[in-house]
Amino acid sequence: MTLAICMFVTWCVWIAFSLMPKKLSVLDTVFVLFGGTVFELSIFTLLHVNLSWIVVNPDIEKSCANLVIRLLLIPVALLISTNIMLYDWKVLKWIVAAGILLSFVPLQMLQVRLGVITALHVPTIGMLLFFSAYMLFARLLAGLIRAAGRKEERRLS
Amino acid sequence: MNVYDTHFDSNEWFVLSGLFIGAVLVVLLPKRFRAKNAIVYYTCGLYTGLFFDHSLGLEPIDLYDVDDSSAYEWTDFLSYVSYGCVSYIFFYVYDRIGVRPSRIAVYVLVWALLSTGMEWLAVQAHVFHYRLGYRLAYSFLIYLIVHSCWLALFHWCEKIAGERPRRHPG
Repeated sequence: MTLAICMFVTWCVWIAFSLMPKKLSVLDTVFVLFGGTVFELSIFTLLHVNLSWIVVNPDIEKSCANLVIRLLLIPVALLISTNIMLYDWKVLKWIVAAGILLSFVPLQMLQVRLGVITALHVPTIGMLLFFSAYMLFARLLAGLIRAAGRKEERRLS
Repeated sequence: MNVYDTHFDSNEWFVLSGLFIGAVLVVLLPKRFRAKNAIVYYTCGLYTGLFFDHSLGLEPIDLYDVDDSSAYEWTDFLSYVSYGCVSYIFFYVYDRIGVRPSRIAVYVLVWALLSTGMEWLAVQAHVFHYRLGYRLAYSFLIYLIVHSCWLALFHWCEKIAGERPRRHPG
């Protein structure tokens, strides 16, 4: 059941991503997905394996549910936030981005409640800081690859 | 947490030398792709390495450890960076020699064999520590799948972007 619930939430995030208007090109999206996942997984592994601040349940189903969240949900959520931060909206985009950031709190709570995470030694504000770092890093990557594309276009023209 | 050794020895030298050789090749090879494509092709290897090491190498599966311990170390990250060089060279050679569709399976097989050989060397250098009966032969299967996915990504990126990589003489 745990895995099914996590997959359902992940699927909803994928639907949200597929429906939203996108500012990133396909190549930009792939790059941000790869880079964002690398950053997020690295931080998670440091917290989980090295520091034991997050303890994941070793049960097969619950560990797989955690993998679904880490590998399939969070990277796509980062893509959503990156696209939103690239919108032309002035204030609204930051409000929506803050909303996405706050939505990571119930996601963590859901994982704790489902027994996916058995111990969470990071306070909520700490988790928010980590997730805001993921979002900022993903936005930075988007800026980087867009700048690389623009620079090359200028050079070629 | 499993600790295999705490010294700067064969595994660190293997990762650093592999990264150096890969980086030199990536820098020295004539430019072949647009900047965005090149960045994606490089990041692809980094992502794949991390993806498998954090799904197969951690609980609940935990089939192997990388480098000196099961903790995440700086040499682990450098090894992922060197995977980026491998993926870039993989795409570079594929595009350079212009593999025909009928030969794609052969190209994937050759690279899977090469990658398995590299992994065997890495095991000898104590970069990988297999656990729970994991064997090098299983990696061969994973490489076949990964390299096939890489080629699918390559063609997909080209198709979606609606462009062929810019070709340079040589």
